[in-house]
Amino acid sequence: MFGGTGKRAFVRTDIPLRERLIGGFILLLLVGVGAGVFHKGQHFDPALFSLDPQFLDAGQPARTPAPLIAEEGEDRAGSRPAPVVPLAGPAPLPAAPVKATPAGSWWANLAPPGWKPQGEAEHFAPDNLYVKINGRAEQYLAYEVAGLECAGVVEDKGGFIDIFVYDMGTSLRAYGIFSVERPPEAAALDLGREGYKSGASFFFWQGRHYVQVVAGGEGEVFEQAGLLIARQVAGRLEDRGERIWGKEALPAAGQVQGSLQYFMRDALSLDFLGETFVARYREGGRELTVFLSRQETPGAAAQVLGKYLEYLKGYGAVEEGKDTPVHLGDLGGFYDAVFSQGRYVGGVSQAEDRDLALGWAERLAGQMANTED
Amino acid sequence: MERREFLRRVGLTGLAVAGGAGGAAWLYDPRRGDQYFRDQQVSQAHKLPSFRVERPSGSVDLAIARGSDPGQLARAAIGALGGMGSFISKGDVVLLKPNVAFDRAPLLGATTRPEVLKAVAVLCREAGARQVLVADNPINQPEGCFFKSGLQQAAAEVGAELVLPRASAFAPVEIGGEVLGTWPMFWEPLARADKVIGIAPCKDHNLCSGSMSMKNWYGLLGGRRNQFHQRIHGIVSDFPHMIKPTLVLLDASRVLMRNGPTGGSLGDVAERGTLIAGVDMVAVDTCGYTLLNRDPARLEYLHRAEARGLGSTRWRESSWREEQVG
Amino acid sequence: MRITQIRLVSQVFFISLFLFFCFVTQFGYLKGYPVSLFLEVDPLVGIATALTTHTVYQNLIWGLVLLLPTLLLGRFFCNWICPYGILHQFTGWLFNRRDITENIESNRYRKLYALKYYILFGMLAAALLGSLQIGLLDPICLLFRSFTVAVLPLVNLPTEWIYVRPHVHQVGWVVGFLLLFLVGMNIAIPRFFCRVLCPLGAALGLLSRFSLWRIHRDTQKCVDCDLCLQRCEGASDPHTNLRKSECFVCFNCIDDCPHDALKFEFLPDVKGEVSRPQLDARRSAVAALAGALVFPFSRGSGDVGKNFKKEVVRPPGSVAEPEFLERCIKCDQCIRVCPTNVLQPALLQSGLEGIWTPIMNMRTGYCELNCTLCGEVCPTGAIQKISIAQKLGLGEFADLGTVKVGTAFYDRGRCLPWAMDTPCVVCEEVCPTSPKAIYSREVEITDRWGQMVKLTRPYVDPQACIGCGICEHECPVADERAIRVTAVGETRSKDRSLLLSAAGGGGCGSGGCGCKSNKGLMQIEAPAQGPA
Repeated sequence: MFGGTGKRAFVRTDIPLRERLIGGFILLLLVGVGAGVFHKGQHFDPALFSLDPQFLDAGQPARTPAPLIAEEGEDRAGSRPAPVVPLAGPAPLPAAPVKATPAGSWWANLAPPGWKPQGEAEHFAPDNLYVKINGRAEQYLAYEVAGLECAGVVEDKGGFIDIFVYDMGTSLRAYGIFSVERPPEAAALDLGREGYKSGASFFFWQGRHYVQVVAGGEGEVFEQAGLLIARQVAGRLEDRGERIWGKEALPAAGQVQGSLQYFMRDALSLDFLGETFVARYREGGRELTVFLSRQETPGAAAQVLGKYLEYLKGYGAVEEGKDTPVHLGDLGGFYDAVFSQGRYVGGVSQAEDRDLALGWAERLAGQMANTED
Repeated sequence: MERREFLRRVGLTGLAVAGGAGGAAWLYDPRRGDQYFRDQQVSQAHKLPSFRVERPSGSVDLAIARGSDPGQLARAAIGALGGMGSFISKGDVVLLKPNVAFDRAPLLGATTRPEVLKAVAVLCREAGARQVLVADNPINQPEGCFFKSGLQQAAAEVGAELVLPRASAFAPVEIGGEVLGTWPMFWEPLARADKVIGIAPCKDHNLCSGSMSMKNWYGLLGGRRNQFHQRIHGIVSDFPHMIKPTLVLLDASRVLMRNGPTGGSLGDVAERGTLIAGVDMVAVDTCGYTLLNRDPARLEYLHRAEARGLGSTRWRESSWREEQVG
Repeated sequence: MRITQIRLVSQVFFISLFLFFCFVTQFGYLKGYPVSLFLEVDPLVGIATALTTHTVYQNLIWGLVLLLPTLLLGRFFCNWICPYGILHQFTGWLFNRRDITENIESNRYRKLYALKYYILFGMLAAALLGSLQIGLLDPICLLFRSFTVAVLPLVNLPTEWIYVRPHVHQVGWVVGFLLLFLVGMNIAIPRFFCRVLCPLGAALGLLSRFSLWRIHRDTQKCVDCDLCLQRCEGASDPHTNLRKSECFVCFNCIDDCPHDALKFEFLPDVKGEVSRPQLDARRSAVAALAGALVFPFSRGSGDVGKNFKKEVVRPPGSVAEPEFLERCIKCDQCIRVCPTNVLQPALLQSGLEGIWTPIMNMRTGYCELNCTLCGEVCPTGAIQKISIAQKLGLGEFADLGTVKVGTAFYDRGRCLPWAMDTPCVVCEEVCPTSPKAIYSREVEITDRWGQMVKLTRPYVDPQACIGCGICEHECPVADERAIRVTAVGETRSKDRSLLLSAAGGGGCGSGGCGCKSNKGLMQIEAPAQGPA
């Protein structure tokens, strides 16, 4: 079946030299083509096959969607808990930071001896906050940050310290963001209204500002310079002595140091619970999570209580209080005790000891009943 | 006609007749319709063995590591559990199952971090593993996903073998879950492995709210797995029944806070500096869910799995440790 | 080494190179290999696209590498380099059962061989008016397309060497059987395609009239034995006056002549050759006319303008449709390189001119977000080379915005949460944009049994939707997906925009005036086909 050219009449044998030379030249050409193809193959731009990371640094966390729009009723205790996102407006355009005005500001003459200021101080508005701090902007926006000012100092060996001053608008919100960023075991410091040290970095809140003095390294040099800077900044920031209601309302006895936190919304990951303080308490070897929320009106507080009870019913049995304002939810091994008194809604969340939870909630309810508010 | 000729011809024809009749008899299928369909379902399905290890009582079952370097977090967490040696024996073939579902760069938090995969692979080798396999069945294109997530390079750097989900690597597996019956699974790497370690990132998920160490096993499913979203909590709670891995890691060093599970923007990612490792994936997920700023009491599949006895959400009552790294 | 053995080495080299390129045009193997090399040096591609677009696009300048030597040496390409020619020659050799006399007879010139010139004239006339059809029969385009659509899937079936997830190509059987037919015809007529149909061969043949070298017969030594015709590949009559336009410079005749009467001579006597192909003027005119009519007849059918089909979703980075049809040579390299198998060769969806051009079929695949491989391999710029950053509208491309190839639409009568009280939203899950182009709203409904059921119902945000189609691909309603992407809202064409803001882009927004936007080749619009 396969014939081929075996049946030729004549095969030429005398090959002239010129033909051989040309043949050799052509072979060299082929080798050249092959080498050229191979070379081209090894040299290529990796950005062809995956997105160049530098474009990710530009960061585009533009629009943040509103929470799910429920078409019927507001009960969301289903399989889709609301993500913690702030309600934001239309997509902001990335903008260059505006140069801040010098003199009379907290960053003037900030550099300690041996350090000098690095660049200009920068100012960011809420909608271009992410340009400076990327994904962390979301957290500050949740507390309605009004603006960020930042400056830096640098020393001869290249070490740097960055200072971030967030204008949170009110002391309550400054306290809020401070409290949620604070790690539970942080060493408390007498700095600003309240502060702590973490590594060689310092954090505090003062007036309506929240400040971070973030060291670019570890060690004695950074700690000394950082503390100096922090105290200077604290001294320059106004504090009108606004009171933080939750610190005063919740009892200090037994409160775990550094556990008190203020949430503007979604406290305990519950979307109906805003304006709430949450703290951990230690009693007799057991720990307890206690919360206290202050609403606009007693009616609003009653509504929040209603929603809380609905939520509890979704997961377990609820004992409505008969001669006590406290309602107890039994979630199969965990107990929530909750009450409302006047404008306040409060209680204990996820406790293992039923009696402890009940007792605590009743005491707290009693305390709030006596509060004129 | 000669006798020899006669015998030859009759013999040949006889052989042809016998061959035809015999062949037909051998292939004969007498089944009726109902029996035929019943038999189809039971054909050749594999069963997955358990990859769990016996551990001495009093072992730490869940470890939380906090810090900034993800590789170190993995080492610390596994160390706190008793070290990789308490899971891997000498000569084991270990399958690492990362989440590589999408063709995203590592910074976007939608896939397993290469540093964590490498750290776990190195630990396996140190514990004496003979071979480390890396496998996943992505939603996007496999070659692109492994490359863009950095996991192809990570696997090459630690000498791990990348097993791609070719059609021939799938086989039906009898699972017997609430939603999953017998289903085609990415069988080849499972058949080769002695131990299986899941390495999942912590992600928001538009449908089931959290994609963590349990949801990670979705990547072993083949076939038309896009139907399970109709009973998403059912199927996620099926996973601890479907597979009993040696160990799971939940990498929450970078968490995809929203727009999950695909992400796509740096603004969706938050640094959370935490890694959780454990033997009970339900416990690990309960612990990790809080890093999404959500309450695990509201995550249906966790409670479903617990109610079926497949794990416990009360990790605090078990033996657990927390480590600070760096 | 005799010259024919060198030629054989060259043939093995180039067919191997071609097969290598076919194999390597794939994510993971591609690296920087110049896989479009054969198409780029193909002068017919360069000439035809120059006629349609009035430019020589980028690497098509390499066509000169073949063009110039052809002007000197003749149609050596056909036997030394062309992979399709090599395939034909090999098949013809393999199945050759003729004896010497039969071989000689099969290689005589026939009038049929003039057909390729008429085909060429028709195609060039079409190109002159703006319709690029050379890709239908150009040998490189045809071979690459056949490999992509028929041969490689065939190889993958038993071996799994080519794809991780197998690729399918619609109506691939036509291409497969066509290849089989054309290659099989070598048994009847040697080098059937090369002699009868190949437009590139015809073009090179026409250019050969200027060649300074040719096979020359020494009439003194020649004894008219006709043995030179035994293995003549081109059927160029070396035994009489050589037809320069048909000679493939294979040198077989020189090897076969027992009297050493044939040589490859520089500037021999023109009386000993037939310089130009023998063509019938009337037939040429008819062919040219037929070709010229392609453009008005097919545009008159409306598939490119007013009556465009919604299935014609082109790859990202494509130029607007009229220009696309001026550039696409149907080589299907984009279809080969596409990692997800979304690109498919069209049939008549984009009209007569669009046969075998790439369109997306979201059932077989979807457009991977971080991928621009199709544009990387397109040799003629029908799909422009855009970076991933440009495709996504990041960084310096933020003002241009994302490249959209279409928009997704829900079929609420099929979608599970909309029509069947069943939860789903896989579409939202896999939507790759951030924020997602699919969002949802929760409803509480009473099902038929009286139970309260919470459902999540999805919606498309047309501003954010890029038309990638992964939603359609993953939708579990497998027969006809409940969400489908169609070719409206694509950024390459103002005529097919959906939203006002997208259509505007600094212009009037109506798209009817056909004014050019200042945003680069992709958004340059040919004059609108319909009223404003």
